[in-house]
Amino acid sequence: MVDQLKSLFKYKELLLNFAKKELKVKYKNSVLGFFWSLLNPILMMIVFTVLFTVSPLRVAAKGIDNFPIFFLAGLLPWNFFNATVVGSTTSIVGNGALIKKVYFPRELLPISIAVANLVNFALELLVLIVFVLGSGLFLTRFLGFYKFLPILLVLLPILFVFTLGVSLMAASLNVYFRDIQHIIGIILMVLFYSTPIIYKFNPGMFGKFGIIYMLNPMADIVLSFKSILYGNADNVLAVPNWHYMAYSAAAASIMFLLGYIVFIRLEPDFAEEV
Amino acid sequence: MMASIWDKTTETGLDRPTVIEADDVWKTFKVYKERNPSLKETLLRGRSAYDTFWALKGVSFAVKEGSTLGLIGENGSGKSTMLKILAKILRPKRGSVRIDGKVSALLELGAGFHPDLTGREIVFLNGSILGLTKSEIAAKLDQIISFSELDKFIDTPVKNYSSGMYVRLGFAVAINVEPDVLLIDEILAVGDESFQRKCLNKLYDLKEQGKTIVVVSHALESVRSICDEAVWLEHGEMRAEGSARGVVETYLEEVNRREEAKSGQKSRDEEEFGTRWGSGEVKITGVRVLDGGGKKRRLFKTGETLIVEMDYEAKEEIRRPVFGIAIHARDGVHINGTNTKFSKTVFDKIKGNGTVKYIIEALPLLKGNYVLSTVVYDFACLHAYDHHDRRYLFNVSSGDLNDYGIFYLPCAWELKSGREKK
Ligand SMILES: Nc1ncnc2c1ncn2[C@@H]1O[C@H](COP(=O)(O)OP(=O)(O)OP(=O)(O)O)[C@@H](O)[C@H]1O
Ligand SMILES: [Mg+2]
Repeated sequence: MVDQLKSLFKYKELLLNFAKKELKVKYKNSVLGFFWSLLNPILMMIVFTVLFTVSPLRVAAKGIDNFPIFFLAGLLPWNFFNATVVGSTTSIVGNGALIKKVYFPRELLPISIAVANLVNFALELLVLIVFVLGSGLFLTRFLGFYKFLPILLVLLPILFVFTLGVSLMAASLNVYFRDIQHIIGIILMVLFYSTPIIYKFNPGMFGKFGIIYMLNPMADIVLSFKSILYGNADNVLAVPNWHYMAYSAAAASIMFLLGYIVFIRLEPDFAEEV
Repeated sequence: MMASIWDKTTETGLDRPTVIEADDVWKTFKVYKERNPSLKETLLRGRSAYDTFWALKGVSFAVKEGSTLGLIGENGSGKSTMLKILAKILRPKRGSVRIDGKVSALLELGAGFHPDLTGREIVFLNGSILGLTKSEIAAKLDQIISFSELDKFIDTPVKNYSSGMYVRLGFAVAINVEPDVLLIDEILAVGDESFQRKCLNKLYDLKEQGKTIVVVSHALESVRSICDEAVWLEHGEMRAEGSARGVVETYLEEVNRREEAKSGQKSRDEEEFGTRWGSGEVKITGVRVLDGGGKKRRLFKTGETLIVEMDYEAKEEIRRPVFGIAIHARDGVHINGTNTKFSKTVFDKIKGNGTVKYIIEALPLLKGNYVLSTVVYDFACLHAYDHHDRRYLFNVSSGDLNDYGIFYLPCAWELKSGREKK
């Protein structure tokens, strides 16, 4: 497996090209093209602001300051995860024609989707950071960021590796069981609500099941993102709980190993099964 | 037997290293009774039901650096499968393959890229699949575009390409990325005539540069001229291997033999072909196309003896009948017409049964399909007793000859080199 990972380096050009293609195809025939990556979070911000601070719906967000930021801080990493897993699941099957005709390490397909989505995610994060800076006393916010933002450099790789592990597994299994592409949406929806994105999480909320709840690595990852971008319950930027970080790092590594091993085992026969 | 005009002298290559090696390759395919089983079915009866189909059964060959191998065989014989295994797209069930150096493969139609991408984007994508960096591709871009002759369309999405254009682009990339080994599956068939020639010329160039090439093709003429060696696959087994010329020849003979057997079953002796007219005082009752040894034959090699025997039956005494033969190419060209009168062979009179023999000592026709007419006329050649128009088929293979056209013309070349200018 290490050898296989190493051999991927020879293909970094192809990886970039695949990722570019992914982005290009996504924005093909759209007037604003790439700007959508920046525009999307801005529009979401506007919609959430209208919905949850002005409209009657605001009762739903009662007790949470700055609800739009609270929501986006969890939604953006989730969207990265969600889009990558969904895209990867059909990436092998959907590129059957290519796989039957040329050789390249097949894992480049899901990886390139993850990379393309990461670019998107990074742009969205930038927009979000601007909003965060404007959402409170600028100086306090700025000092908070100054301290905590570097943690993103650890957190992003954890999210990336975990997402990739799930994606590799889904992509390769879907070649053999096409049901996965149908069921993955439901699974992701359940996972979405088992992750503290739209609601406020407090450890006591699930009683004894709190531990089980936190076993979902996305819960740990999203909570860590929220600490940095939204802050603790009082909306004060904070260091993520290091338990969460450590656990999600371990879970991401295991998930990646597992996903990659399954992928490598199934990969040589993709050309005749797709 | 006529001597070949130019004998290709391929270097023996004993000292050159083997760069492609297929060692006892076996390949199975699962032929699913039901495609893409759903989870439910799989859970209910384990892996879904399938038959095992052996597409390759113990194929072995080796290709030396700089030489060209042709894979031939009928549809479904496993050629593409073998090529895909060489290209690492498929994994052999048993056995192994090894290729040294950078491999560039061009397999079947289209490359399966996203239809919204433009030709230029595809060039970059394709190039990076073959392991080139962006700047390396950029450096070759002009060359690739000019080879593909798609200058005007290079920024058009490939969904608007014709299939020929798509193949041009793929071929242009595949050969311009300077691979060590080139694998090509039946692409020569798609381009138009001028592009096909261009491809062939390019293949000769690559050969000269010492690249190793494997081609799958039904264009046996091209295989014979480009390839040094060939492997003939049949139902996944190796029927023959060796010099390209020899293998193609064996293959053609087999195909013709089979066709003959088939047509023999259909109509016993004479084929219902062409038309027949005449007054019937003399009738041609049987026509046989024979080789020098008197055996019935359908396929001849250039230079062999061909004999046509015509049985006739004259109900009454006929004075000075004229027997004639005409040869047409199947596409209609009238190649030759002659008769006993032209040859100053006068039969005074005939009555009853007999046989007339027409002999060509050394058949000068080249590869092609031909058809014979046999006739018997009165001495003035105005009144047809019996005229079998274009009824008897025979085929010719050029054997060792590489000449183009319909005729073999013996010839010699001389070179007078001018004095070198200072
Ligand atoms: N993915 C596959 N699944 C099942 N059977 C396959 C698959 N690919 C090829 N086959 C079968 O394997 C056999 C060999 O196919 P292959 O494509 O190698 O033939 P070929 O010699 O290239 O024929 P052609 O001259 O028509 O191109 C065929 O009978 C084909 O049906
Ligand atoms: Mg084929």
